[in-house]
Amino acid sequence: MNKANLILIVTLGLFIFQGCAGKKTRPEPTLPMQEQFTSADNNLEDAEYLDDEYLDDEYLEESKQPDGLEGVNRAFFSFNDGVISYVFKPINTVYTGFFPPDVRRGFGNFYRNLGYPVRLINALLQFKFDKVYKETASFALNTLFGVGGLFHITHDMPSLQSSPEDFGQTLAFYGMGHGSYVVLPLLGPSSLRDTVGLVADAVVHPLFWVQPDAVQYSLTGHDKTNALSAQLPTYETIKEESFDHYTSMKDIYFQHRTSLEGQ
Amino acid sequence: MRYILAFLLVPALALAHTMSPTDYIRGNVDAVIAILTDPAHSGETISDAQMDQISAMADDFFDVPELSKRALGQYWRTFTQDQRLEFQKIFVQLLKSVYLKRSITYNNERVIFDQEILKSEILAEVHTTLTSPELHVPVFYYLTKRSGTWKVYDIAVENVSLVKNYRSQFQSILQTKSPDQLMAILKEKINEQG
Repeated sequence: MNKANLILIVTLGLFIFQGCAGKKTRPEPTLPMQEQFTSADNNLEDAEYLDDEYLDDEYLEESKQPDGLEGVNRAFFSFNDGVISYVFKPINTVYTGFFPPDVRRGFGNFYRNLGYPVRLINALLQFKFDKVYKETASFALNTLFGVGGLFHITHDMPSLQSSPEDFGQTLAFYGMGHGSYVVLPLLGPSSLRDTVGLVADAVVHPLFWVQPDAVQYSLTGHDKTNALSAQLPTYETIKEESFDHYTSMKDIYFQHRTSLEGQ
Repeated sequence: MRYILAFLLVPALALAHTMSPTDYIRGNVDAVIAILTDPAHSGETISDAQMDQISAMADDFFDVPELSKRALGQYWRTFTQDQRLEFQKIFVQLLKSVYLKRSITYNNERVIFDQEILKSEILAEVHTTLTSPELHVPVFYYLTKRSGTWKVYDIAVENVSLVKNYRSQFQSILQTKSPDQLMAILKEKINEQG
């Protein structure tokens, strides 16, 4: 393995918010609603909130976000964070210096467009035919009129916007729970179920079938590098604004997946 | 300049009682954008005066007691009256510093008002989208009406609730630490952010 390959493999998976879906199990509230509120007698008009489904939702959802592998997860989390700070950031400086924002956006558009089969198959598996239509129309328009997907010409067409489907969400659709939160080395936050989803989706992705292997790895590595480069500012903001970075990222992952699942 | 702006805001406040949730959010968003794009401060960086103005707006924007209660969840019970007041004070300071930082990164995005959902007399959601050439970011405001005025008790960006996210972190900290220790951590964070 030469050096270029090594770098590629390191950058390969640095995709922080790579996500999949989650069936939420509703844990029993640890305290009865009444008790939580009557005790909060700090001249707030608590009573008027008692019957509110909203609040209900909020407290019940105190998602016992399952994290049976916390020890290992935290170790990989620190590892990934270190890789981002000390390996990826220098690479990113060179990368963003070399490619202006418009070009990077074009790359992002291209790879997203290329992932169409993944979204199509998963929309089909969940009988979401409106998404099948939206994805197909977007793919056709962006490919034909957006120079093979480099331009996201459907960006401003509200009727063609849809949240991306993936196999993690398909598994959720058929009733599978997350199992446990998992932090994958280099790939970042996921869950047991969504990791299965990642593998399944990778096989359906056109890049998987590119030959020879060196080209496949280069393109995949570039896709992930470009995506992480775009998400780096968000990652840094979250890190900066959190008190407990690990817990914050875990919560964002589950909230994000739950919302995708509902769409 | 500040006085003129303050003057402009007065009618908005006077009307607050009859405002719809969307009007309330729109008024605030427009006012913040007006401050940020004020030609009097056309420099690269945001001036202190601008920061002060936005900071003053943020004070009225949030329903601080409700935010604090939700951010602590079941741990709210374990806080004494004094600790609750102290927590509210620190928490709003923290939210403001986050809010201010976000404002600084404003880059001529447009805010589109998509939908208003009135859940009840006193609860509402306002769904907006922050649009730029690259992205459409859904930003939802959750409001509650107190003393006749709508106030924000949660914001969700890309369907990730700010309050829930804080709650997960606070609860994780409070599992092993006392309320006072938590507040010390928050204070440290505020100082860090300057």
